[in-house]
Amino acid sequence: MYEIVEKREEVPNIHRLIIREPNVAKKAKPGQFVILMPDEKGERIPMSIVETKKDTFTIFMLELGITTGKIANMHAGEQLYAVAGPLGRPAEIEYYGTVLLGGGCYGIGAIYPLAKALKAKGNRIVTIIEARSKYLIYLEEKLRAVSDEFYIATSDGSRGTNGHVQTVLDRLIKNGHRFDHAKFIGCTYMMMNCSNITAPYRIPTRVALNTIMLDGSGMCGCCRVSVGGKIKFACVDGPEFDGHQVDWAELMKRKAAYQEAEMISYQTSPHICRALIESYFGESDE
Amino acid sequence: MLVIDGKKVPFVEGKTILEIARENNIHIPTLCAHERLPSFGACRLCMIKVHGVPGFMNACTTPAKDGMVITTNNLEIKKLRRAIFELILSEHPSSCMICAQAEHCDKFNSGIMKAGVITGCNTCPNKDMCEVRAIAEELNFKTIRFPIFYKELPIERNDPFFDRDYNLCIHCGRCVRVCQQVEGAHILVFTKRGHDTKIGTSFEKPHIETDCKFCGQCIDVCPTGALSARGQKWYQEPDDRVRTTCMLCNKGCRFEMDVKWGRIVAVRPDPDYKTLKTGICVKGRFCLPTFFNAVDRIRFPRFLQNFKLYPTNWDEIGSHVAELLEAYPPSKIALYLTNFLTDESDYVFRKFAEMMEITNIYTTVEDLTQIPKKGIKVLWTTEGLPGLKNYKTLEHLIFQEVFPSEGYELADVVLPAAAFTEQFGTYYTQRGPMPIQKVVKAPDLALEDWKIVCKIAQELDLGGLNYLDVDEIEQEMGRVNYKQMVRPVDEYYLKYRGTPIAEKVPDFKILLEYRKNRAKPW
Repeated sequence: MYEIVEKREEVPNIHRLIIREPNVAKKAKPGQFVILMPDEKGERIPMSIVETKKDTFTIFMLELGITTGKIANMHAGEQLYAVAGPLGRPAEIEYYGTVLLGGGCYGIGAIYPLAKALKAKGNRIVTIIEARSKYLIYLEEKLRAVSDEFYIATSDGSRGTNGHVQTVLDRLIKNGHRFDHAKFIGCTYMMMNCSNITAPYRIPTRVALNTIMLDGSGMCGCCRVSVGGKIKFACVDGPEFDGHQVDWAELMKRKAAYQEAEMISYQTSPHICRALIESYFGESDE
Repeated sequence: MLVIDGKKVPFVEGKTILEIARENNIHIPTLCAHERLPSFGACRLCMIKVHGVPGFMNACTTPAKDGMVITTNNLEIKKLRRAIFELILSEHPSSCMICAQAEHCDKFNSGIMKAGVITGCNTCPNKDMCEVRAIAEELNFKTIRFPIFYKELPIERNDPFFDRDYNLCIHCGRCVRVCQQVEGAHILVFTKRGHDTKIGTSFEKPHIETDCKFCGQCIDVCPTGALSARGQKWYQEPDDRVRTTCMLCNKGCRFEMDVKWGRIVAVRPDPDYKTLKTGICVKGRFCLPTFFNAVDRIRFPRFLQNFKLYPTNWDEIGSHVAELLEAYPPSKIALYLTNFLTDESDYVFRKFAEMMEITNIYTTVEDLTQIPKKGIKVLWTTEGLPGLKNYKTLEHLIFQEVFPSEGYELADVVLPAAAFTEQFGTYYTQRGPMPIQKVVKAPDLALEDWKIVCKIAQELDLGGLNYLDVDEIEQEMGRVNYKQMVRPVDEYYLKYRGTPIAEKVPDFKILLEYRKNRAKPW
């Protein structure tokens, strides 16, 4: 069992969790992830490690289904059933020159360790984050602190540029900015769009794929993706891949494989905050 | 006579301008008006110009007068309507509606995001039927000039069956009106005042603590995704919509079911059924899909061999049952007919009994006390029954059910029956005979009860039990003047056949346990 030391909903749907697990904390490198299970019946959800301290690590979790919903309804002090990690290859962290970092959703949190590590290598960091609206932006101060340039895009135009990471990126490139390397983390759609922007300019692009995963050790093959016509496993060969070579259409199709089961699972899982169920049965009605 | 947009339409005393316009296929956009609810005038989208009257009026609250000349759409009205709607949108998570990528995103993204908090259409369970979205499309909205305001209200997930995210609420008051004026329940009210106005229960109590019946009518009328049924969302466009009658009790409520992936994914009251003034009960509205989609349905015929129930096919089980029935005199065989059989199945069972000369037909648990008196050796039951192990004379139990309910462990033959949503037929209710429609296919080898009887009758070489469909049975029932009775199953009966509904529906269990001290749980 793994204790949740701290838990807070930073912005709607994005939960910041600090989990006690000294081995992960000791060994995790930027770009690696853990697989979590809230209980023995939960799915296994891969999540990027954002920060590590002595015996704890931090993740930003996006509530997006029944299992992440269960975690979202847990409180500090409660125990997760399983934590496996650190998994995956660490991200490529070298000196490139000017590095572009794009993040959306949970990716705003997930690019932070990359920004920090790349900055430490002496790179110039240009960070672009996107959100649907101004109230969904988090971690802004910390990201600003490790970025040389920092841009915000919102799809409703309530803050920063009206648009997405690719809108800002496109504008920057057209205005003569030069990038030697790019990394994107966010929803598959966002990573696809951004990779399509950098492709014609031949900017080396790395994306962190968020596939369905089971064991995270390359056995099950759930996470397989086609990269440059070859089958790769996101859990052991990735999660970082060349964004220009990923077969995006196939990836999105594979990610939708369990839509039926995901929907039907809501019929049988009472999604009620567990503290409230306890209060229901702790005291009698009337 | 009225003139609306230059078109002459007949005047009807007592109707509003909106009602007359709708009857004549003149479209006026609205969000708060609903055909089942009294006018309210909350959203102000139905602004129209009545000639000779200064200013603009609500089409939904203005009674029509003979001779009125009305304009529903001109530049001035359009400008006003857009501004009103823009104000609504600025306080409704609308980023996806005005997002430049919306169309491309819909095409590529792998389905809806099942988020906890709704932050845009792509995280909203109501996306495909949203009325706000439809109006945004109609008015062709691409930008919002006003500052975006997110209310930051906590989402309410502390009740069984439904989630509430009032950040999406546009204060149309439909839920309040349906709760007060249609259902007469007065659970939902406007709380607070002015800009802080919110929908909620008195003192913001969870619904389970109030007298809420969990009829779900508030969800059905909500034009946004603010109110949603937890287990009946995220399926996007249904493949099919089928209307049928509920057989969970003898009231005969009609409902409409959404079907996707060959399963029932949502239930709502039949919108066309005029006699239905109130909603359907919590069992029908919320429990049904969960109940029939449960994973432990009986799917295959089975027979006992070496202390194990082996799955088999219908041919084999048919001859197995036939042999079993032939081995005993009819006086040692009993049939238990559940109240949940369709009229046709009930008739076929009784005809079968008559042909087999089986006179021991039981319909209540009390009837079982005759088992020892008459020395019954074979019991063919169509529902799980309590206390069967006490009847020592029983040598064989033929268990025809939907779920492995009470008594299943004693069965030596298991026959998988179709649920009422998986067959055609008729059910005699308080409203008279009501049609039962097949909504989805029965799981694996499960069959309608009458078909199971026919299969076994065939193996027994009984003529006259070889029907093609329920129509044929119905015609025969008419010919022989067979009279069906209303089954003694009331609204608060908590089982379907032998299975307690709460056993398969965790939220229902919470409701019953939480309200166990009340005379009526809903």
